[in-house]
Amino acid sequence: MKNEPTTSSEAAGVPGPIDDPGKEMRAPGDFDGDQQLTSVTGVHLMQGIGHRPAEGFWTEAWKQVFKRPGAVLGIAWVALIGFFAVFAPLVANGHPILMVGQPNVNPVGALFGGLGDAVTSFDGARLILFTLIWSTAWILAPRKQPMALLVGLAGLVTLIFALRVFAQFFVGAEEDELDARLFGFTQFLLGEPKDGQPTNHAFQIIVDIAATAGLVWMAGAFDLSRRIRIWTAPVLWIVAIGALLGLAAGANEDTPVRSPLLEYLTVVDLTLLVGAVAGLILLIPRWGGGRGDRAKVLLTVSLQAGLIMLVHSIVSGQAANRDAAPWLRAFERQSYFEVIASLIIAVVASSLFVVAHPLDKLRSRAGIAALVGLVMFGLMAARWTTPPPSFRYAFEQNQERISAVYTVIPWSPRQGGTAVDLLPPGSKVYSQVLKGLEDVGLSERSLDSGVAVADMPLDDEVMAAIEAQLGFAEDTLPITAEEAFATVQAAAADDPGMTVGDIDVLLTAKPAPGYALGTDSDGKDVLSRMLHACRLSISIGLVSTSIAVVIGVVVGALMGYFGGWVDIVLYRIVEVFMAIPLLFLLIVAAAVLPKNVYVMMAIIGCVTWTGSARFIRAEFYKLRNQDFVQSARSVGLPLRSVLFKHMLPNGVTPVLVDASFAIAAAILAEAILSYLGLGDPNQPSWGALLSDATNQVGKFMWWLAIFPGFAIFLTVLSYNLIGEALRDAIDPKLKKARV
Amino acid sequence: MTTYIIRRLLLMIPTVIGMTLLIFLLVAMSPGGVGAALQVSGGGQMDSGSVAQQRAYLEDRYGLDAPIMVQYVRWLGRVSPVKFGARDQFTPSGERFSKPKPVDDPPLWQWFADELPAAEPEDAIVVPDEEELRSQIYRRTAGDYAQVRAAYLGSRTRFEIAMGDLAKDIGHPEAVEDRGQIKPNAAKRITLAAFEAGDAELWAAAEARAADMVRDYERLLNATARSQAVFDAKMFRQAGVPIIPGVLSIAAPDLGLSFARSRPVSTLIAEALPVTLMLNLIAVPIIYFVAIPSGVLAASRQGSLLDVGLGAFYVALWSIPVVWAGVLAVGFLASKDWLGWFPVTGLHSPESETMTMLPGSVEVTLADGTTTSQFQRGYIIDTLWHLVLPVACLVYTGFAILSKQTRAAMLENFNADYVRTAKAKGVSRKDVVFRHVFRNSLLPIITMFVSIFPAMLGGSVVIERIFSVPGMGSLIIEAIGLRDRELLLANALIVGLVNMLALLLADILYAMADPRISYD
Repeated sequence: MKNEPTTSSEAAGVPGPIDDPGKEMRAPGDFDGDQQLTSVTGVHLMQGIGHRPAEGFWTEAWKQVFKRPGAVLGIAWVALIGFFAVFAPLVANGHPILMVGQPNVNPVGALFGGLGDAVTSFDGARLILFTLIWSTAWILAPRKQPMALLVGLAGLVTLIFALRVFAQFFVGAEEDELDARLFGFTQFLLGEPKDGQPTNHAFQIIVDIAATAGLVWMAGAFDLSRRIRIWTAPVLWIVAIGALLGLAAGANEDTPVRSPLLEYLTVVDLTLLVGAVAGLILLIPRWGGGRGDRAKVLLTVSLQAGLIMLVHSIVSGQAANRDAAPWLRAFERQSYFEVIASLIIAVVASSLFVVAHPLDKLRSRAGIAALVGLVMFGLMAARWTTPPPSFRYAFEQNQERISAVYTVIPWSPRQGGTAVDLLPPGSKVYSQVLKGLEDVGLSERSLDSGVAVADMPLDDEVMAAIEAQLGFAEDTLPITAEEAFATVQAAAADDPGMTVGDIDVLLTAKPAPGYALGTDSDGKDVLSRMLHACRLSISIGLVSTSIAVVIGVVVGALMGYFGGWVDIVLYRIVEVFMAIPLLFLLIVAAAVLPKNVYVMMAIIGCVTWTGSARFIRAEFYKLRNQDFVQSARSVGLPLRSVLFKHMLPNGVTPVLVDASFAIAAAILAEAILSYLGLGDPNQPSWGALLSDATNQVGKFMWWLAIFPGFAIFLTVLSYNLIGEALRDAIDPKLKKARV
Repeated sequence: MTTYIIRRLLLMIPTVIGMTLLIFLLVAMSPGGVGAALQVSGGGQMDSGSVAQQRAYLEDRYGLDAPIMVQYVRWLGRVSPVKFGARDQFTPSGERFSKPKPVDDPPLWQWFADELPAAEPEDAIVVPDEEELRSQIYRRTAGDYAQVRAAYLGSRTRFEIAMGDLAKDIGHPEAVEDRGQIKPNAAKRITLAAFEAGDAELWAAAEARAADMVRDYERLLNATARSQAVFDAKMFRQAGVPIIPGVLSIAAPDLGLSFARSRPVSTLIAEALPVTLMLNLIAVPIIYFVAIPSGVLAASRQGSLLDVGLGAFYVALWSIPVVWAGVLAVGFLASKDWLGWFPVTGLHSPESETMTMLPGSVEVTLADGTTTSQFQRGYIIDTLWHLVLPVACLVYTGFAILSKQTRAAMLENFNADYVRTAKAKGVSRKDVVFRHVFRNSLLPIITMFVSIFPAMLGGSVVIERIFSVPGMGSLIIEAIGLRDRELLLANALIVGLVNMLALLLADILYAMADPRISYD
């Protein structure tokens, strides 16, 4: 039994509870309830022999939730959605994981064949050597770190970097126009080879030393115990092994291995992957802080990463826009644009989070904010934008130019033909060839009735039409239109009695990827789109509900605390939002504002805040005349502190319980908006898939109605079940009257 | 109670203003602004000059050239039942005859004319006795006025484009708008520069355009004066009731003209609102009839398999997205590919126009000339048949909410002292449940209306869309698609008012049902 003071205030992310019952902290594992008592003291007698210390409020509540099978299933489903939200790009992707530029070469074999060369190269040796130094430093670093040396090292790296940028970007000069001393110096440090001279590795070594120093500093900054550092050292090794594999992929010069899948991952994909892996590793072993502290860290880290992703998407979108301001366009054309822009975004956002951070210790919050900023800077600089993808792998493979290894579901959500569409579940891509044949006169009936191909009007004109039809599908077909018809014509010439049904057999005999859940009206794989839509589903619920809760809490707190005129005026605003049916307002807002995922989250959040505002208002009415509020006011605490540090922790429970239902409602709202075609057209969404089911006049695509709809239903049901269980656990009066 | 109702009604005014302002600002924020879809329509075929002329015409007609807040205040003035100034008139055919708009001075006229022409004094209008003659006078005047106004706007736009060409010629392309017109704030500066350094040919062209513009301006002044005179003659029925004659009056709100359909918004809404209300008024009793008994049943057998099962079933029902339910219903129940039991779209079958109200048999002439008697379902049954699926989609979420609430209210009363007393004195279980507990549990059920009704009004937007029911929801979606501001605002206003009145009604009912509650 752990005795951790987990009160409502901590779960709400608000520090400084005033009525914290378990103020004296015990280290985890300090108390064991099952321990046999050897002697009985007066304290034991007063507590009652065999008593257990009370659990925290939320711990107790969640334990109750976990006793309900429905809620457990709900949590499991949400966890599954969450898993795909992060890992969908690695599960369903039209880009091969590994690809070599030669047929009949196994990409995996080529990859491991390059390992020997990689290890013996300078970079490989350096990687192995420094990984050993890094991890030793990480594990053995003292808690009090040598700051002066570290600052000096970091400063040196920054200076070199700045010089390089200054020379090539701000001065805008070519190499030979520059002051020879300046350029020579940076070149010496950067290790850029001059013609015919050996490479200088000084810069890499300096960077390595600085990285080592940074790790030591981090160990000190976070106050990490030795145990945690031993636990987290494998992260370094995983990264090193990844880098070594990367070297090995390119080491074999005849058959360099590429991974288009990794090349096409966006900043958001990478951030989520890094965040999920790092979060799992860092949060599962218990480090110094209590559960509340870890929740705060998780919250701020996600907020910071989310903010940086948002700013990055806005800036990169703006810079790529043709109508952007001329200076931005000029800046964007510079070779250093990505690095500088990433640096500015990361630094600004991170310093913001150093200032406004719920953690108490400056060292910890600076460390965390800097770490996240650094990671995000790296990701943005490396992958500012991803080029528009081309999915001609199947074609290339068929032409025997490459060989490739794919993921489980070899389709990207945006990969598909435009002409041949709407295949039912279980179809293979060859069905498109047959569909092309049908479109030019070979009817469904003749396919079944065994009419000979020789009797079909398979002349040049028909062929040209079919070819045009199939030309659109080059991205998905592992066979060209010419080849398909060459096969058909050759077979028909050999065997005049051959039927169209035989063509089907002939074509589908070749192995080809199938569509497990069919395709949508753009010929895109439904399963892949559904998996990629998990991200929208998870994020829209969490983000928009958070926005709504924040607005609602602030407005509700002001209304409830002040009453009087403030209440009357603010309540008019609440009433305005209540007077229009929410869906109506959502539809109007979504229709007139830009069609963008972030905008939709903001809209849903800004429209649905009235519920939490009313909850908080009612709670604050009750609380505002209580003694602890009066005393907080009388000692002259600022309003912010009275409202959000003293009153909020005591009044926030109904809002947090309601949040689960609010998430379900937000997901429903998103589904409806996407169904009405008001969502981001580039973002796969269950609601948008659902709307495809009846879009074709007179046709009903049952697979587009069943699968995405069922996914929405299960998700909403899960959140509702969790909410029911949580409410019953927290409000025993309602427990009697639960549904 | 009366004071309470009056206070609530008065508090609705700021709410309505806030609500419409919110929608107004949202529409104004949209790319292209108000009426964007209208302005691009047909733009593909026209050269930029014609597009500019059409745009100028639309902006003038709907007052889109004014600042946003001015536009909003104007709209508010039109829908407000309290009107200032001269009252509008209605022609016998039902057209609204408003005071003609004042005419602004043409731009830059000082450069091209010595003085602006003035309107010729208008002879007093002789009002004929026959209604037909008066209508003729109105139609001629109004048609003339509209034509002349459009002509003036056209020549003004052509003049502005000519000035824009001049501006481009002397090297000031930044002073020219997308459609080739000169920007108003740069006009004076450019004209001066163009006069000194401009191309003589272009300047002559601009002069010719200016002459046209001033000529059309004079015609417009005369037409306006004529129209004003006809208006002042007050030949037709005036709208509303005067409070202070000529200054203040009370009249029915004018919801304006739909941009897209060129029909009065009020008639569009008058067609659509009954459909939506009918859907909701059919749905609400169904919800109550199903949910209350099941809630009572669940509460009276608390903890039984039935109770748990009903609870789980309702949570599941509550979680079904309405779009999914609609798509499944259309696909499996209505589509001819599957069951095809119900009609897919609309509110009536095409042949329902010829049907009798009630079901009965009709004589049908067969191909061979013999007549036979056939069953015909009649208009009412036909409509109900069309309504089955939309109503089903509308009610199922309400079942869960209301049944849960009924059960909770019942259980709370089951634990009350008076129930124990009743049981102790030997009242039968049936009487305890229905005469004691149920009657006292009715109160929260009335208030549940408050949370069900707005959700149902919103939900019917989607349901009407899925089933192509021509109600308010379809109207709203259409208005949003076309950025039809007048239609959208009027819809928001009506839906909001209906919603608020329903909530007020629920509160009043609550007070009437429970004598302990007093709002005074």
